[in-house]
Amino acid sequence: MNQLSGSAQINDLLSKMNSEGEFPISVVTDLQGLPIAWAASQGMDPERQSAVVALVQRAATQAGKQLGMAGTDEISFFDANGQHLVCRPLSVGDYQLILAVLVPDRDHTYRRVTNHAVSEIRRIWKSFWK
Amino acid sequence: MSKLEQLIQQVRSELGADFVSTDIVGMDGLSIAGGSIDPSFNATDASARFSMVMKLAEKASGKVGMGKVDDNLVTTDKSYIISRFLGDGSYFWGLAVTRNATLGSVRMLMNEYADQLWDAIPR
Amino acid sequence: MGMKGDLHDMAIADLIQHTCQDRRTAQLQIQHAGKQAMLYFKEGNVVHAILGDQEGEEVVYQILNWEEGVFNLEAGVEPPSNSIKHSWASMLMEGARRLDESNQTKDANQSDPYIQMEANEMAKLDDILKEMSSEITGYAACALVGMDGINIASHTSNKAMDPDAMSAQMTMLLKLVDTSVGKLGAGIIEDNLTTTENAYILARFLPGKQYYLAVAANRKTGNLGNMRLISKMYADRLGKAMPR
Repeated sequence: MNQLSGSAQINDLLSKMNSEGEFPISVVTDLQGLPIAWAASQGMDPERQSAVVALVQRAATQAGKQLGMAGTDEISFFDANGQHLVCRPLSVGDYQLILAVLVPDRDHTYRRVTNHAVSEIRRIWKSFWK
Repeated sequence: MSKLEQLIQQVRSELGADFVSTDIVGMDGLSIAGGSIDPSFNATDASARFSMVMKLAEKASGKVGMGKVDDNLVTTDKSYIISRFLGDGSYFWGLAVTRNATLGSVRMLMNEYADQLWDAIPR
Repeated sequence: MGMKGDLHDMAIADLIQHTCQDRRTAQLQIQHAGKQAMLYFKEGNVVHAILGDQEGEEVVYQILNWEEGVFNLEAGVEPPSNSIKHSWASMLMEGARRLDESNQTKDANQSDPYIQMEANEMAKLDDILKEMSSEITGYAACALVGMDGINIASHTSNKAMDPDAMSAQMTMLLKLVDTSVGKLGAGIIEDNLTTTENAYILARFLPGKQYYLAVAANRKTGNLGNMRLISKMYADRLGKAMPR
């Protein structure tokens, strides 16, 4: 039986996801852009990452509404080198969160590991804080 | 327009519709620069009150051994009010934004502008 | 020559008084609920008492409460030691005083179920705080505080941190912030977060604003989003668990 707290389990989950996906940083953030959990390599700034992710989410939500689209499932933006930030919004109970990972380049896959992380975050949340 | 006023304008532009008010306040409670979207907003009163808050926060932190205060954030149902010491602590920067604001990015913005504002304060 | 009997017929205090007034040297053995106490008398005084590992006056005070059991008084047995310095009369008076005090407390508790209930509810609040502490990254201390600055419940992972001192200071700050925000028409305060060199200190009102939850986390290892989110969740729980 896992004795870790809910918060510790989410941090641990992100750490394992980073190892599997070779991501330099991943965060779970609230819509205010404050990080709730993170796993990051040295030199990465989880607070800045969270703030940016929330801004991106906000812009995407507004854009989606303007275009009459359904809620966002994933937001990605790429730099010239192929490094991309992937944001996966998720709802748990009354709380809106965003899982965001920095994918090093186009050769790295992320969808499967982030899908797994999203469902695990939901499971942990429900078992600790429903 | 002074350098300080220019910087305040830039902050207002960056915050856009989330901006409510801002002031640079001496620890005597007097504002030396600032502005608000609400002409009826009483900046004098706000500056005086929040300088007392910052003084008390400093005193409280000292008494419990938490070290120097960096900032104080108040969350209300309408707004976020952030008061952040500048430089040697003889001034603080008060900023109010709407609850729609992305708090994380507001904090990042304050990190970027804090030193510039301090350098621009006439001494 | 000895005497045997039942404590229903003769109380321990009476046995002590009569044996001392007779100026006997004797050993009094008392059996009660599987325990055995030995009292030793010499020249008109109780000079030694043993109960299990205990010796001395406290044994006498304990056994004065025994209302059931049997005794055996054996004359001429010399005391093996001298652990009691007070006179038998002063010990009986002290014993009676302690018994009165204990009965008053028992009566008060039995007649006031609120006190029993309060103890259980306070334990629940402690449990909630302890659970919350494990969820906050970089956790240092927390307290549930009344607006008089007094802790209802508190918990800390750092013995150097004083939750009482923290709460007293935070209450003053929170009151000032609440007044200021109110006078400025800036809305209804939900929480106040102070960031210092060493810590994040969050104070969040419980519904009704008669109490607030204070949480402190280490500045380097703490995490603002986690702290605010967990505090909000547990403040709601604490609000529901508060005694009415």
